[in-house]
Amino acid sequence: MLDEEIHEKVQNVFRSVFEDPNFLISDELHAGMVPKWDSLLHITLITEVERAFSVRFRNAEIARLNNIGNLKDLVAKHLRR
Amino acid sequence: MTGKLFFVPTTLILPLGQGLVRLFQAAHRRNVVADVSVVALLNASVGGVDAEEIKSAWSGLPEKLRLADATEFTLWESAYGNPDFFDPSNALEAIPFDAAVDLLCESGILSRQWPPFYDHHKRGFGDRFKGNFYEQIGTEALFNRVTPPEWWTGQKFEPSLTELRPTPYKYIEADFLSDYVASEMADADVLDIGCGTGFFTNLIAEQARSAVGLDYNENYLAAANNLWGNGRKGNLSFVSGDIIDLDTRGFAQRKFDVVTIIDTFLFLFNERYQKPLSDNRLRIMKNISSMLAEQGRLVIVDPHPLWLTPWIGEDAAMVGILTEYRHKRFKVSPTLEEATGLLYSSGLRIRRILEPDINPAFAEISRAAYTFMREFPQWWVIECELA
Repeated sequence: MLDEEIHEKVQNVFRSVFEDPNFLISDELHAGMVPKWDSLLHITLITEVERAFSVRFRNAEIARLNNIGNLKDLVAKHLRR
Repeated sequence: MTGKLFFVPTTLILPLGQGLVRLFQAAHRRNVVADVSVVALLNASVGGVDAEEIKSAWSGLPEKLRLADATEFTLWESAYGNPDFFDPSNALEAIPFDAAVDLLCESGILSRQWPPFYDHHKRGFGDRFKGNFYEQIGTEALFNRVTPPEWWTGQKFEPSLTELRPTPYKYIEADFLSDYVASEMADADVLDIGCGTGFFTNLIAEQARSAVGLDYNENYLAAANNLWGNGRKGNLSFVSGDIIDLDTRGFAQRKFDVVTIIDTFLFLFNERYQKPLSDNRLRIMKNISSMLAEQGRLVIVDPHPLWLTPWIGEDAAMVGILTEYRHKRFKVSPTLEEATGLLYSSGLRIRRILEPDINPAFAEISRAAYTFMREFPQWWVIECELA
């Protein structure tokens, strides 16, 4: 899957979870920048990203996520397996 | 590796037999299982040791360090199954010296600075073993892909939500409430604030004249209505409402003989996890006081300040290790001063404080937990009246 496709799919997950059709993600975006992005929503985001790509992240991998760029890289890593 | 290493003296070293020791860092609630030879390293680092120096001394030994992180936050099974978060089953691995030192530093058993830095702050969603009880639940919820509301009901109830799991909720809290409601609320109209899925509201309705459950979580209330309806005696109802903004023209004008707050009072003191409740706690308690009949009673059933105290020992003698009280790094219950201060400011007077005991039947489930909880109360009950 191309990086652009991963980006778009992740963005669609965020648009759906945040209920905002215009939500734009960037590699630098992290939870501290979005007031609605709390721990409850984070669980939903991770679960929905996993569902969208049919992957399952390991706990240690989730623990290391700092921003959207990390999340996209992690998706790409799992898709290569 | 450069710099110095220091042994952190809040660490307990407990021999496990078979050449193994458990290193329990009480302040961080972290556990490491290691070969007994690690004690020599810790001993050498009391007061500080040069990291390179000890590394070269160590390389002369035949084996790498066998070490494993044995910390486990096991609240999934039971809030009480493993209060010091120790999982001895973690496989020991022989790991290189540098990695062993990293794990010991990460677990707060060794420090690269003096005095040691007791960092309890959770930095990200996945930062495990950091932050208070609620924040750690958030991390575990993420790792297990369940939501915190599902966790709360799952640790307390069987999947049917009509029965308590075989934990102290059942053998302390429910046992106490069954007797207490029968003797103290038999002819009372009762309001149960923060009723959740209604288990205890229904238990009250079985004995009281009437019981109303109040909660702001619509999902919980839908479940409560579905599970209990109007109760066996037709005297039970559930009302949706936010205790911060009770509409004083309607429901909130009712007066009750007894108002109960079960496992909810502590939320009023959590600034990070329950900020709206924490910011408005005086207003909330005044709202509640205003719903008490003239001779009415407020009954707070809440986790005891000793709750979440880690323990060590064996079945016949368990010892609690107090790691904190005034500053809530992990624990979430208010101090005596905070709890009584809020009641006093809300125009309430304490009649008595009860500390429910554990049913001896729990010894069959866990002798160690029974021994500990027979000594150290897990709930306290504060009975108040209008001052």
